[in-house]
Amino acid sequence: MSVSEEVIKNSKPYKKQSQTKEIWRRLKKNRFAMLGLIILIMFVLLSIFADFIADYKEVVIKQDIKNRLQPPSSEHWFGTDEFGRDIFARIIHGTRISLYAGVITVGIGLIIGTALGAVAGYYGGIIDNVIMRFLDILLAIPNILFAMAVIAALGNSNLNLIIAIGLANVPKFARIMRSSVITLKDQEFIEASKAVGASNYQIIIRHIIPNCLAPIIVQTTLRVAFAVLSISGLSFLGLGIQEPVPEWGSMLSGGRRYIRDAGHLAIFPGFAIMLLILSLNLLGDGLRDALDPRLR
Amino acid sequence: MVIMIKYIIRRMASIIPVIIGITVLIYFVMSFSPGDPATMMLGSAATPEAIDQLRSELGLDKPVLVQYLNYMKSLVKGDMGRSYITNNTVVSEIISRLPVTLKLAVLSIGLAVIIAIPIGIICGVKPNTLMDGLSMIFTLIGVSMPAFWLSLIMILIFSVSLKWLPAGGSDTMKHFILPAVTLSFGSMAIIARTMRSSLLEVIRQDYITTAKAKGVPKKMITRKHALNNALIPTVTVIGLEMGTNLGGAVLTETVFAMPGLGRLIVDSIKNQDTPLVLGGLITFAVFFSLVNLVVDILYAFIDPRIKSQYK
Repeated sequence: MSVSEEVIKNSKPYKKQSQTKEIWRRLKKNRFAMLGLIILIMFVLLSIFADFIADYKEVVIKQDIKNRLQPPSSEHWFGTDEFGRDIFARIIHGTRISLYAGVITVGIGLIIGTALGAVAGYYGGIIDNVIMRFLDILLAIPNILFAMAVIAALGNSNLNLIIAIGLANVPKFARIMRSSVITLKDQEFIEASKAVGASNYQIIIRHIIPNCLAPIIVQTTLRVAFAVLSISGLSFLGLGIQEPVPEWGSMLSGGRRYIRDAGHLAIFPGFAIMLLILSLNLLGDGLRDALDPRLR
Repeated sequence: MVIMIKYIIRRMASIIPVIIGITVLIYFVMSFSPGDPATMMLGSAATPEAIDQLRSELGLDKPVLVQYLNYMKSLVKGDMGRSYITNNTVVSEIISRLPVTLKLAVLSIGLAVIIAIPIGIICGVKPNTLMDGLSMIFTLIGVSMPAFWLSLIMILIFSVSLKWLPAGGSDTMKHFILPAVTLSFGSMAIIARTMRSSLLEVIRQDYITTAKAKGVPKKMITRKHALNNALIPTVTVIGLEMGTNLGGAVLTETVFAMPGLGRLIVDSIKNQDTPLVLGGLITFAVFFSLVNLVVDILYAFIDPRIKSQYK
């Protein structure tokens, strides 16, 4: 057998690496991102199995005044709150509230923001100007104050809270989408699509948006962290999710009143907020590096 | 210099459409509020005739668009109306609260800059060392930690346990220490991170390699060549963080019971006191825009390429 025949016989057949597998491979190398992913999965599992860990009606919202403000013990791992409710159980169920509300609010911002950004970036001109000036106005108002104004106007309810924070997410997604679209719209493959008669709608949906996904995915992860922080901040101020629903921010608000006598009320819910946001930030940073085309 | 002044005037003029936009947005959002301001002002004991009379005096019986235009006419004369609850002028309420918020925002951003920039420079110049690793962990925790939780932890440690610092109020500078440190924490993390990553990016540039090849000492390379270019994105972030701190003061002022503008707006929103909400938000927007203007001017001094555009 000649040398070349031997090389061909011993070499492995070429397999095209899928993009997703390549991104996952790069993400796995990042220890911090993996740590973030593991913590996030832990929170997701807790939110799914919360009812098995602690019964909602009997443990989470039922008041037991005899046992109020108890410090951490073997019976109540994180102690009890001002109404005698187990803090550990309330934190577990609060995971569900934070994750669901976080994802839904970001979903609202993502859908509206990417649509506005795609239209502004693709059409340009006066459409771009009007949309961007509107977004500049939204960005000039601190997010939390805008959300508070919307809640004050529409009323204090969970739905209005989600609408308020969802709208606050719109400018960020719109800006990212717009800058990605501006970069892409003059590319040759877009010109080719126009030449074969594709409509603007088809070009935006089928070609432009799929090619802008990388920064949008990163931003989505980071915005969920922002949404969790905003929801807990508003609930802390009494403008978010109302009692007796176990939201972490409103638990801290209760803890504030008893900080001198029962400091444990101020520690555990805040630690849960920090851990969830940290996991999302770690994962978001890892995704940013894994999706960066310069590192391919 | 003349061109610079013209640029500053043009930028200040660009704040006006933003303010108009904010007033339109907030006025129409608040117009959906349930409840009647006249009833709120007079109380439940007032007769229907008295309520109608007050509504007519305040122009509340007119269409929302007419009310808005009347508000804008007054705003141009510097009159932001009166609070529905206290009946004091909005301008006087804001003036009495603004110094606390400004002091808090300036102290917190000042503290953040003083600590974060040296940390960012050290980590950028010596990446992948123990110092770099520790500061990255600190920055990750800093950006993830809710400011209102950190406020409570600070109160627990320094006011309740150690009794070193007061837990609330704003009478003396001592009252500002805990709130300023709390508010600066998140900014410190972001500014340090930005300084580090932009310095790392600049150090990889060809002109830095050339300087090293020529034998220029490392400290001089960092100080004369790398730092100016690395400062540009950092200055942007500092400006953004100043705006964030103005908004973040809302929660910090609430926890530390400080009589600032943020807390005034929160209370006004809860009381549906539209003139105060509008006045407060316009004030925030003006300050935020002014901060952005200062950042843009600083660019011109840091980067000669930007300055030359205005010659």
